Amino acid sequence: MVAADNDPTQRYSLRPLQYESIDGANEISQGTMFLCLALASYLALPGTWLWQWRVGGYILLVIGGVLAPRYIPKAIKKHVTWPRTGYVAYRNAMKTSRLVVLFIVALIVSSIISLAVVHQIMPDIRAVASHSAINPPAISFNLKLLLGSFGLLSAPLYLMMTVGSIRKYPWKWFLLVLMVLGPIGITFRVPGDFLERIRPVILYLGLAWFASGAATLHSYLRHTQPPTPSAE
Amino acid sequence: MNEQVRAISALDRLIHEPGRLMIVALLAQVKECDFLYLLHETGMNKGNLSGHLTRLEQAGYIEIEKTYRGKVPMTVLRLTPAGSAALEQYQKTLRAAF
Repeated sequence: MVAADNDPTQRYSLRPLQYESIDGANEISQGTMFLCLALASYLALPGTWLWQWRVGGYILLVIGGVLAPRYIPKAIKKHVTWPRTGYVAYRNAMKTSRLVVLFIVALIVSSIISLAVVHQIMPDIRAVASHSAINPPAISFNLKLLLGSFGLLSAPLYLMMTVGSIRKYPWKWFLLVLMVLGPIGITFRVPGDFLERIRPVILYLGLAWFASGAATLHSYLRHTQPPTPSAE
Repeated sequence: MNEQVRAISALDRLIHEPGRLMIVALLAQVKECDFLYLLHETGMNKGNLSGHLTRLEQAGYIEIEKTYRGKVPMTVLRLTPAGSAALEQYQKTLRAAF
């Protein structure tokens, strides 16, 4: 008997998922989301000239939260990927790969770790929630740890979205490590309260996601050409 | 043992051909795709791919729809239930043989 994994036809099961990440569209979309969220939080910063532009923050939230995830991948696929390497409609995203299960398991594990940390630092969160803007409390070590784990939470999503391209681009492993370690470094280096530290963390994650997507797209464009029109 | 060996002869020869096996295996994973995607994924030339697609269509394993995306002609392909069943049977036979 041949195990299902050795069945040659089973080896194709990952292809559609790999093809989905071939152009970096989803990474760009995710990066745009984070960047809009970060910029919106900076625009809402009282006491700075940016505060005058706080309405822009709401617009950025709409762009980042609603428009970016919906339209950016669609636009890249429609105008770049499909004309170059072909159109694909997926049967059911959940069926495309066992990696989805792996992603869910990784997400659950990282969520449990985060919940454990949150449970540990609940008194600190309450303190932050009730703090006065004039005299913000010092941020505890546990709260810093929670902020630092944002990159860890982002890692399974990044792995899921880059599953097809991470073998082709080994530098994405390096970026993954930076994505996990970066927020920890920022949290422990940047002074200020919880909100002052979370902004650069989100900005950092946004830049990392966006840079990864842009580099993937650039490489895809370099290595593919639109086909010459002829009879099929 | 003999039965196991003889199972190989029960393989669907239409699907067993490597080019067509690639096409059917890829189509089994997606709802639909176009000619260009298969061309890119299989690495075949247009003539070969077109020939294999015609044979699979004649056997009722795939559906071919000629359409347009904007002003660009597009050939959309999808696996029929008969094609899906044939691939499943092929996989079963292959497993039984080895």
